Amino acid sequence: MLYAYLIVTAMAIFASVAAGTFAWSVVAGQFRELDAGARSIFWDEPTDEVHGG
Amino acid sequence: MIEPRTLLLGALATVSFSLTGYVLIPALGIETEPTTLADGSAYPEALGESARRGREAYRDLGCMYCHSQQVRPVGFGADQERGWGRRGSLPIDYVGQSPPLLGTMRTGPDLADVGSRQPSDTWHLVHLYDPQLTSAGSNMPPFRFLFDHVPEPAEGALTLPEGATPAGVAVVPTERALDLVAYLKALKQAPDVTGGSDE
Amino acid sequence: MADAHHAQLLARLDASCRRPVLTFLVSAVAWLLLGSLLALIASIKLHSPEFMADAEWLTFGRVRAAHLNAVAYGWAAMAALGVLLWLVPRLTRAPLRGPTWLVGVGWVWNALVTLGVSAILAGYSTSVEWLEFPLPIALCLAVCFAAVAIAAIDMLVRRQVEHIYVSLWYLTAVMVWFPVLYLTANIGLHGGVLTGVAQSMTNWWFAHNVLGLFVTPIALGTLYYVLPKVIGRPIHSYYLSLVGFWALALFYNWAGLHHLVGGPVPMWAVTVGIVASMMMLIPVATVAYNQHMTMRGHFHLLRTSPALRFVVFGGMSYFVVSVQGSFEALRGMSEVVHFTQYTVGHAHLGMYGFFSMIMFGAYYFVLPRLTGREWPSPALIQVHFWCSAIGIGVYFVALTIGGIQQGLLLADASVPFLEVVQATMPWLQARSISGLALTVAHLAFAAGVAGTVFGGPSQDRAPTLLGQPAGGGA
Repeated sequence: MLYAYLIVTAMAIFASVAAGTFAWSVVAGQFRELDAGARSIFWDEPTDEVHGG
Repeated sequence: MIEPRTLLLGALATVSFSLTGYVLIPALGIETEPTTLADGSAYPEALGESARRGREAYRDLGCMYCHSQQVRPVGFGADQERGWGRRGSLPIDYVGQSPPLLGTMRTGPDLADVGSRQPSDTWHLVHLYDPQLTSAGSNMPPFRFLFDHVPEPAEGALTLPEGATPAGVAVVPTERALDLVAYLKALKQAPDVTGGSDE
Repeated sequence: MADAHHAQLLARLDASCRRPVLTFLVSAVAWLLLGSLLALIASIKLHSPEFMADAEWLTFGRVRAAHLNAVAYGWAAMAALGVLLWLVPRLTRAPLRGPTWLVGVGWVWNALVTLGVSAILAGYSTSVEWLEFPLPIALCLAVCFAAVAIAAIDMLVRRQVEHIYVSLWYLTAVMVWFPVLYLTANIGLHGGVLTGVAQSMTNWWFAHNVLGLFVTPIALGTLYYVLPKVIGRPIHSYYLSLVGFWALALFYNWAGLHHLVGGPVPMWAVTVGIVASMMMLIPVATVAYNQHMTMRGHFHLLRTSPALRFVVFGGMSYFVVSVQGSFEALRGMSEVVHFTQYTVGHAHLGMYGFFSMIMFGAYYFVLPRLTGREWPSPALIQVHFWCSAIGIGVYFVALTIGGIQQGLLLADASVPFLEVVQATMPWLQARSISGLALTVAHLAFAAGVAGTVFGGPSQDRAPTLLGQPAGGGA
């Protein structure tokens, strides 16, 4: 079971680091940059109507 | 923001992490050599020539997709109560096997110890020829193509119930059918092996 | 925003990827049809064992493996790579380089899957689930995959955008994950490196990750693109979608060993597999929450947009199948359902209800943009959708109930084995009927694809929608 503890602990550490990084990026204002990123896919077609297909 | 390099290396890191755990550690840690039983014999025993060819037939016909070869421990399912084995399977049971045919389905019964509970050649051959003759209501396909149909009388013909074949036709197992049965009969658990499935 | 400059760029991007994308997407449909046929044969055999019993090459153990590989490496992989080769130029604004090479790669891929499926039917299968192709074929497939990966990463490097959109994260990561998985597993198992249960562990590390680190990320990347594009509104929480990405990258990797619960493998590995499976609830919840919040107020569009309808169906199936999978991994659940048809139902909800439905949605979105031709008939799309949705619904319900019953009976040693077999019969017959419905769906889909790709000269007409959009727009 030693391996299980080691790996699960490593996953937890990894996950905490990821969560911390994201928290930091929010504080540092990167959140807004991300939000602009979410709109970046609309460059090729207008956004205000339903596209079929 | 995130650079492609971070993304690619991050992806590589996560998959390498699990590769280490699930591929490298088992490759280095799980036994690869047979053990010696109390009576001095090696376990698992190497398959004989015919059984080895039979294992290839088992593989190429895809028997594994309906039959598992792993007995679960007492208290986890009813494998042992059903007579499928006398102990839970251990890594040592699969030493040297490539591929191990653990299986994921039990459309048919588990075969890890079938050689112990069904030692009869005739039963296996009749069952392969037409499962309904030995196990009415089974959904196992008949493996008639592993048998030759020749005019009676023929040497080595199967004794089948009246009406199972047209009059005057004898059913003779091919080499492949005999090999397959040799393999099935060789599937036996040594009951007194110890060893943790934990490391 | 679509000014002259952008229109020009768009035309260039589409022209660069058109031929390879069409090669992959059309080939995938052919494999889907063949896969459906193999599936029907296998399904009928399981309740009527005399059906085509004397054809050795179609014996259940072979035809089942042939079905899996035709749909996994023919349909799923080719559809996924085709959609990827369309998405990456749009997301990076870099034209695809070497399109002619990639058309060739598509044809070689077809030839390899043909060889592989034939090898299985002829008795050369390795009998390792998800890795049945003989090693030489697998290695050639890996080379083909590498060619696609190089083309994709090349576009990423030459990208004309500051920001890497979340879909691109998923697609790019696959370019790393799949080659590592596929080469390690093939060389480890078929190259004589591993033996015994170490092979089984690598087998399920790979097989589960094909779903988790290949088809899932491509389907999610597609969902995160098509959904906002069709409704004209960005992802509700973009931030959350990125958290979901890293959670998936971390946890999915470790989930595979739940396939060996109760088996002869080290306990620690199974425990890690179960923990990771439960942790998967986190990324799954982020996708479900994001899809729901993005769709909120726009659900009426499901009535009219085929692409949206298929993709949202897929996203909902993702939630259901993933939550189901997490709990299926628990020891108590696994004890009952592990070796039963329940698992088969689960697998199909994932590969079909989730992945394939999202790919269908992507086809409806991509093909008109790529060919300049609209889908020939809304009626065909309706047949496709309803036969698919009802077909997979019946499939899943039948095998879920039948599988639980099978598992409970198996766990009761007083029930003779042949009675357990008999108890599964009605459910297996229901599965064959659902297979017929799915095949009808695929024929309607194939007819639509043929009309769109090989139809007459491109017309300039409005998108093929399923009925009048509310508010009289479009």
